[in-house]
Amino acid sequence: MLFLTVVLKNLLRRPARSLLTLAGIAIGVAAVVALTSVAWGFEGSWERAYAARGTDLIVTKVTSQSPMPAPFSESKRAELLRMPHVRQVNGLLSDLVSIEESPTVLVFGWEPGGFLWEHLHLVQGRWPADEKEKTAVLGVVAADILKKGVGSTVVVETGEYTVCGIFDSGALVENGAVILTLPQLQQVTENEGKVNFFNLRLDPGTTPAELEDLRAAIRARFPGFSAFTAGEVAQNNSAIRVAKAMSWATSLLALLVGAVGVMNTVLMSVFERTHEIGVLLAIGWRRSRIVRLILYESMVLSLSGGIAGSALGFAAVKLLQWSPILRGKIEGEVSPGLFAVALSVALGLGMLGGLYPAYRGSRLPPGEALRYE
Amino acid sequence: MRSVRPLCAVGALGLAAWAAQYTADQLIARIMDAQKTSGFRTRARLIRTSAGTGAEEVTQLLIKGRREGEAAEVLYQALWPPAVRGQALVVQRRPGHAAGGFFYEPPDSRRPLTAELLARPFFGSDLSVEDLVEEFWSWPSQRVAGREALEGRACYILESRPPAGAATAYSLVKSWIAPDLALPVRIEKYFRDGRVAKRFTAERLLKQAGGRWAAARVVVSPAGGHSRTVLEGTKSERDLLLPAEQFTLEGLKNSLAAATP
Repeated sequence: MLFLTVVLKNLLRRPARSLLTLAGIAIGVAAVVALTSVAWGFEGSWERAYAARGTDLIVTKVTSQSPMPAPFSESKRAELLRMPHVRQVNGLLSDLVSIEESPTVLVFGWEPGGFLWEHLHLVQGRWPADEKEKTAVLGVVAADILKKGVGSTVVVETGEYTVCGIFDSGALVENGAVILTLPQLQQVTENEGKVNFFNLRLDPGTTPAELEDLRAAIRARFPGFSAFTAGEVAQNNSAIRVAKAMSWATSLLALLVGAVGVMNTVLMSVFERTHEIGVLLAIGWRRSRIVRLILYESMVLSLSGGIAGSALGFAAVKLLQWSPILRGKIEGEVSPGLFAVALSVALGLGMLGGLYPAYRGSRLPPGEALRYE
Repeated sequence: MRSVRPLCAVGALGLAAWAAQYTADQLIARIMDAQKTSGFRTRARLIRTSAGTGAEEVTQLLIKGRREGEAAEVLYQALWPPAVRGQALVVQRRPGHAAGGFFYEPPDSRRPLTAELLARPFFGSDLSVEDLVEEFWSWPSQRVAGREALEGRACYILESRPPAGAATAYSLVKSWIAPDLALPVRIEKYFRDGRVAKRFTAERLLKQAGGRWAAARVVVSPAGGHSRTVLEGTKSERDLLLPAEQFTLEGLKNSLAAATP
């Protein structure tokens, strides 16, 4: 009989107990997968948005833990343009706004004719004609959530805008957004002359060392401001940081709770098989082989739970994405990397939970174990 | 040990608040001081839910206020749905005078706050216009009726009674005030026959910049339980300088004209 067959047969002796343990592990791993998927997806979505915009540096004011930095005067643009390697500067105002029946929607104000518009693909209608026109363009997801089409009106704060176009972007954060021209959003949010981000394009061929020098120069010239690369701005987003912290905390809890569950199941199984372990030792099995047998049992159990949990977690993310409250706001990442993390968590808890029972099983004196009834 | 210290500090703060003896005037003064600002702007959603059908009606609101000396003005303007878009209630408070103001209906209707208007529901919700206009903290009869812990928070129960002949639908307002937050966490308004008319419960208490506390969500439960209204703040700014023109009929007409395509 193959060693693995022995492992499987041992687990199937008590199918209900094994299944319940597996279900416990699966739920823990599913929570890890769902939270990590959302955190990674959110970060990835912002990174994709910035990369697609062709933004090399993002300058913003670091003031609070708020998801949106406080607006500041756009008069800094001229000074930024004079700095070495800076080719283009686009001011941007963004805000989370409760629109009509929807709780909150991301609203951007972009400079008409700026480079930020270049990566968007117009699906229907047209772009706003000029900064005076009271029009808005909606991402495909935002149009779906707000139930708007070209020609309908959308109320953003005190302003009423005609939807002139629907666009598609490679990033959910933009597809779920409403875009007005910068002057229109500034006016309607009473932030005239203010932005909360500058997107910078640098000269082609700017070296990493020159980029670092520029960042230092920006920080020195504008106290309280920071210059981030596309990846860093996502990592510094407070919502992403909270999601990541939650995902790590859940992983840790799942690991602990799962390990205790596995330990309990495998330990009970070892106690029930005391006599059998005695026989195995008596016929010449080494103690290390007993350790392996018990560890394999706990790892097979947790690995199966990890696979089931991953499937459950990915399904949960899909469900969350389509829930009315989160639709258009989260984009879970389903990747081999995340699957590997889930399996690592499962294997980790299997190993952790199996160590003590394996030690107990291997230390049984054969004579005493044989007499055990 | 480190994690225990903040808990002890919070506990000590609570105990200190509990042990301190506040008079009615001191409690009101704490609330008034905490609310003082040159100007504020808040975006909120007013959500009325029918108990029977579960149907929700959402009204998007812009609430703005400004203070000049002891005088204050507050504007409640509906942004959505289209049927009420632009309609606004302007409340004006001047020392030594009863609260006044007007109701604006586009394009140019301006109605003074009559008794009939005060009794009307505020944009179809369980709040009445009077709930926003009447400042019961300024009624002459105020007394501390006792103390009670709400959600583990030490609160003083303040009873406010209107003066004889006052144009109000209520005979008594009870407020559960948490002195450490300078905030009422529950308010009950009573009809003249002694029945509870409405209960206001503050939820999602948030500490804001400057250490002030505010409720991001207020649940209004009227007598009968046929419905409930939630006033949910989505964004808030304080210490703004807002022009007086924004609180006038002309200002409202101009802003609406500028906001329409």
